Amino acid sequence: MSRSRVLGLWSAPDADVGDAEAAIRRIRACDPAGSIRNAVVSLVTLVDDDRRNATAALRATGALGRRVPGRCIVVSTFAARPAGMKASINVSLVERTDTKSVCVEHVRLYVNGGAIANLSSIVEPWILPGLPLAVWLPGRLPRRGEPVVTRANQVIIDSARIGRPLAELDLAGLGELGTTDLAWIRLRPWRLLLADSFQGADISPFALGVEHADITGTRPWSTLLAGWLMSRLELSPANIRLADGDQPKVQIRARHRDRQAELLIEAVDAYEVRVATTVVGNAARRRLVRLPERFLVDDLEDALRSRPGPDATWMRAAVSAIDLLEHQ
Amino acid sequence: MESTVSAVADPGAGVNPLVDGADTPPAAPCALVVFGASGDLTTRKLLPALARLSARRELPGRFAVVGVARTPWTDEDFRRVARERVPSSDRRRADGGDQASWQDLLPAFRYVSGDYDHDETFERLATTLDEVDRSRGTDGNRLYYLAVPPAVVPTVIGALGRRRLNRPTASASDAFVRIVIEKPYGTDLHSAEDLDRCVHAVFDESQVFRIDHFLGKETVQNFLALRFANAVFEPVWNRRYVDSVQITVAESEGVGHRSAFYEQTGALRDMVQNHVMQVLSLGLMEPPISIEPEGIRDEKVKALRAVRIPNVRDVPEMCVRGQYTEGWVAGHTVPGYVGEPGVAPSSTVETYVAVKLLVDNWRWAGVPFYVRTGKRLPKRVSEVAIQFHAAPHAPFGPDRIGGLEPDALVVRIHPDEGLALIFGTKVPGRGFDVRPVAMEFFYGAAFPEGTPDPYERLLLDALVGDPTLFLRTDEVMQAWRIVAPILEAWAKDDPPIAPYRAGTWGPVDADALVARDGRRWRAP
Repeated sequence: MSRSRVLGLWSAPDADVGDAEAAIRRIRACDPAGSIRNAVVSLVTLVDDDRRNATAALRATGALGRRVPGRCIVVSTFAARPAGMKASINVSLVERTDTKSVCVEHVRLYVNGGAIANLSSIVEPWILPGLPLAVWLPGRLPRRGEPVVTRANQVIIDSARIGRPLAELDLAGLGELGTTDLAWIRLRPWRLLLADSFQGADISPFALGVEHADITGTRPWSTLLAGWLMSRLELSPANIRLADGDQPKVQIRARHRDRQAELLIEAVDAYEVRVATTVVGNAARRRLVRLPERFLVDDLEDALRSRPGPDATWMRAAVSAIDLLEHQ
Repeated sequence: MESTVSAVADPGAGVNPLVDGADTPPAAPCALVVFGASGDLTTRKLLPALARLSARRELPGRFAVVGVARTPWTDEDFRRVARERVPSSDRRRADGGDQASWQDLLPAFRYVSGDYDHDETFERLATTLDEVDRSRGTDGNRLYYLAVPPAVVPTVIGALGRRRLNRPTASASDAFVRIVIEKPYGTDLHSAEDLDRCVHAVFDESQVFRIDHFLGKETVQNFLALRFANAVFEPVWNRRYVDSVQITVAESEGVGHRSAFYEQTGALRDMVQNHVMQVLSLGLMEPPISIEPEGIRDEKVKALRAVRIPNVRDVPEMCVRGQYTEGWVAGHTVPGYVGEPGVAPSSTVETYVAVKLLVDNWRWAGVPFYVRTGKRLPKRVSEVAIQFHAAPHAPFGPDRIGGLEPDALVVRIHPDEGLALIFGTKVPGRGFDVRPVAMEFFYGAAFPEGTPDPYERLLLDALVGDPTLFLRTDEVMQAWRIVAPILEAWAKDDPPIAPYRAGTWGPVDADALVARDGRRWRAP
């Protein structure tokens, strides 16, 4: 088990990185355990001037340190303010009972007015050298040629929070960046459930004979899941029906030779899912599966632990989702 | 409602496009059959590992656990034990809070009580498995886990064969029956070969998963990443740069409640023949062409084949065996080995081994590998220290480099899993004094939540059928061949057992073993 203890805070307007690094060293020197950093990533979060995103990002990245040690840099930009920047730093010690304590640093940068045009030069010195750089955009997609983003090894987006469906043009750019979509990560329990539901000698042959899938849920959750089913099971938009609803549900009808099977996965509530598979002629197989409670920090942790590079499965699912929306 | 599924042979079975492309594909339906279900290994290791896999949703939806043991339990007794003896911390991810999944799994637990040498036990097991296939949809897939004393292993395997429980009941191409066999795999080369004949009379090699939990440790696996994912280490990983290698597996505990087992085993069989040989082979091996199971296992076997098999007459020169006497460990007085409960007063079983091994290949010719393992040493630590050659010339003068050892790379397996690179650096100020410093990497600090227990990893690998981290028969036999002359010499009491005081780093003879080569043991 672990707990975080703040070792020290530091802030300054128009902060010089050298001063900040010196302050970090001083704070870390206060505690013998502060000498161990062991960072594995720099995570830059660009929240622009969105206060809601900033609050959520601060909460998530604050909790991230005990799971994925590194330096989290949350950057807010305010175009209407006079040019300048301010930095504040929180140095925490994550104390663990089962291994060494580790020091993590949380940097908050406010970049105002004309300084925004040089954002890359402001952020760059704060990035830990030699480690992977992840850039998280909680509420938007990257802009073409955006300097901080193009330098990143991994770009984390949330396609469910960009205010519109993904378009093909978006995917072309995202594919080059090695993008991880938090919406895709949130789908993982459902993807595993669906994959697991087709595991078994009696049911697996039906996976190649899916005739129809009804998917109920909020968008774009349902479209991305539908896109994944389409791309994996080689379904056309005509095989899919999307319905809006708060309780997610997936109903699949499949045929193998002269036999039919039905698969139903529906949420009982936020944490419990009912799974039923029926091969016509056999009794239905039913079970309840509990889903773990997840928070934004869980998604972020999984994103940072995911395999680097483009995710071909997600990309194909997103392409199919776009195709589906065009035909709906 | 309990429902029925019939496993119908179908050429389309096994094709599941939703599994392809998944980052962690779900395991196929399966019944896990644990022999020795009421025993210590099951309650201490297997059930907690299952609970953690369940909490992470890594077990298949169609899954069952069938316990088999002599203890006269019912299904409900087995479930109660599973419920009560698994610590709540093992039922959840640190970030999740999930005990419910373990509760949900418990109805899938069945128990068959009976003697292993009674065929009726296996009749009842077969009936239970048929019932489980119907009610849980496990498709006739089986993973047998032998958590039983070594003497019972042939009995269980023979009975599985006689009852035809060694082959899948379904004819689908991906139907499987696998068996996990715990160490020790035999007590010497001949008994290991006998056991292997017994195993192969019933199971094909592809069905056999010989487990050594050391290979489930992340830091042991990290040996492969360290060596083959980094260009910086491999160029110096050879005789040209490496002076010697020290492998230490030290325990501060005594034999405790394992005295009956230990009296039959000793440190050489308990540690060197398996754990140490596995670590050694990962350190010695050539780069595999791919990370495929057979690619890695082929290279490990090649590495072990290069380890020089000593002559029996040379054993006293290259091997030391010891036994702890009364002493102090961590501030407590502790009895000597022969004073432990269940140990014969005249016992000559070794609780300590130090051995010098040489490797006959281009990479390692002339580099000694010093191995030591023991009980009641000052602390519990496992590490591999690669000691590099000293710098050929020190321009600073000998008085400037006092205390400077040659550079070393230390792979720490336990505790504080990680790496330390020890090298010389200038002391600030006038002059040019050089002192050793350590640049350390702590695995747990970099990946705080990401280190699964070895049994968790290995159990899941066995469920999905990945044999990479399990021992192939030729690996086991070669490891026995390496230690066979030592056992033969010891049987003639040559060298005699050397006493060492509990709480020390072993007999003085062990220090002499490395001192003869002008070296000394590292202080881990």
